[in-house]
Amino acid sequence: MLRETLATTWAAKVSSLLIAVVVAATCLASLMTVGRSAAAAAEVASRMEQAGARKLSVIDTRESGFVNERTVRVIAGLSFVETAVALGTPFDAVNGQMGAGGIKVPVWPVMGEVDHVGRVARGRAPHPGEALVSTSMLASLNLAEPVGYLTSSDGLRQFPIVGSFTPVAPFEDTGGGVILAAPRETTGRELRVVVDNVASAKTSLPVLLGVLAPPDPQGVQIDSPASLAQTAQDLNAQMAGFGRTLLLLIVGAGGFFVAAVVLADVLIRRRDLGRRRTLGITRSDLVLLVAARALVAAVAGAVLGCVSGGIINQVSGSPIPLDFVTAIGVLACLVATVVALLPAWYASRLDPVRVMRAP
Amino acid sequence: MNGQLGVHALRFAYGRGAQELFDGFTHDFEPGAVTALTGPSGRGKSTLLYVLGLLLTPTSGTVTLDGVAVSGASDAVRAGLRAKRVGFVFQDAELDPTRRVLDSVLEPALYAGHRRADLLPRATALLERFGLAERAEHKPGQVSGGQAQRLALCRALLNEPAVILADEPTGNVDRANAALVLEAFTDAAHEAGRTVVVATHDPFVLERVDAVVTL
Repeated sequence: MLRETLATTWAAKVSSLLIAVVVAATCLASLMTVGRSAAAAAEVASRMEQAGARKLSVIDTRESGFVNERTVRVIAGLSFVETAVALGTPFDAVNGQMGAGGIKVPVWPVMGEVDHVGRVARGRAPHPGEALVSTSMLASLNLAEPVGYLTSSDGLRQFPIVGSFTPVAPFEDTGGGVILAAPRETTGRELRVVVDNVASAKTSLPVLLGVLAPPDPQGVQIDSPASLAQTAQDLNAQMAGFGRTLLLLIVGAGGFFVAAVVLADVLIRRRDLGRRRTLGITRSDLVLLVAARALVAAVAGAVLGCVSGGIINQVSGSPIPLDFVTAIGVLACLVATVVALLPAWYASRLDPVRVMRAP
Repeated sequence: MNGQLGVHALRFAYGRGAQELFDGFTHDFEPGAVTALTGPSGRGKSTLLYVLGLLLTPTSGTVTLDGVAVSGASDAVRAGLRAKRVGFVFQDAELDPTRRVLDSVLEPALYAGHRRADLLPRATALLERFGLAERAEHKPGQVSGGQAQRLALCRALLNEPAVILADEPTGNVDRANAALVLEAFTDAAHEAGRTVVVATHDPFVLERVDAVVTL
């Protein structure tokens, strides 16, 4: 039957070509519209999954000390927390060997895992009281190598430099200075927490505040991505709804045209179908033959439409995920086959005697 | 092989209120003989052929094949019987115009559930027997009317059916080709013991068959 299907698909060139063209156009139109919309939604979702979008920030504006080593450790251990690091109030420092005339750079005391703030580029991870200089600030500090020491701008404190670092999201702001492994017993000003997913930002906040237990709610400033997450969710839902409707319209129109072509083919080839029935093909095999013919032509069209749609989107800078392209192709073939079933069923019900005896 | 084909108390009408045909006709078509159905136009020669071929269901009465009533069987069973036990020859040959004639000859193998490769030697042998071997790769439009009818005979004989039904098989061919067609029917009946039923009003055919049934 497969051989017969392929042979008759090839023999019925006009209808096969029409089906292939309609399916190719369906795939191409879907990829150029719904595909781009889906790609945009995926991009939004991807951005929302980046650490910067999952960052919660709690600032102790009155420096009452509730952001401390203990609370940071407890919060870092929570199941929904990916990273929890506290930053102290930044202060200025200069290259200790240059003295007070050196260029001042900001220093952020860090409580928690320093490697969550910056990745060590050279040297080693700092112990409490030791500093890492951002790779981009080495030249400003007149350092050929990340060694030496820093002196606070008031000249009262000195910190050995044990290496350089590149900042990690969401701590990119430290890239313009120095991070200091905070000495023990110090308190932080800002707690930055990266939750495991943006949707849990809203529910996470009460838990964090429960652990921090700020003595004065007026002394707390909160920066949460909850509203951003909600906006993104709403946007994605709207884009998905729009995409579904558009896809339904495009695939529906494509299916309608395929059904029309198959029906026309059945009507034109009544005698061929009547002969087959007379020679002994069963109704179910005839349905299968007509539907499979549509499927073979649809597969050819889907490959053409998906490949060209994929290339056009790639070239125009809106690459569409391969699984989406494949899904569109499969859907178009499936619809073409399903809509062919009705004319195929009609073909199987044609009276072969009437057809064969017609002049 | 058998192929004992019979009708009993047969009546048929194309629809409610349409003229009823056959008036309780009963007859057994003997294997090993060529039987011609004849009669004036409108008496149902071709219709009887299609009833015998299980394409039409009698209004009343039965069609039997080897003693088994088959006219009331399901469509799938009747299609299977047509594919495996009945060979059809049409007035216009009815070859697939888009395929090679070899494909047309092999077409019934597909419906009878045979592998194409298994019946390819038989198809080739039939083409050789009817002097059409060199036409195997041609399209039906590239062969003459007589050759097309002989190709239809090859197709009808491919599955070695017990029954061959032919509707005006000499209607569109010259006398020489008509003789060839009739000779093939006679061989199929006399040598292979098949039941051959031919609907015709051609005196040339009526003079050369084993039995004539006038409707």
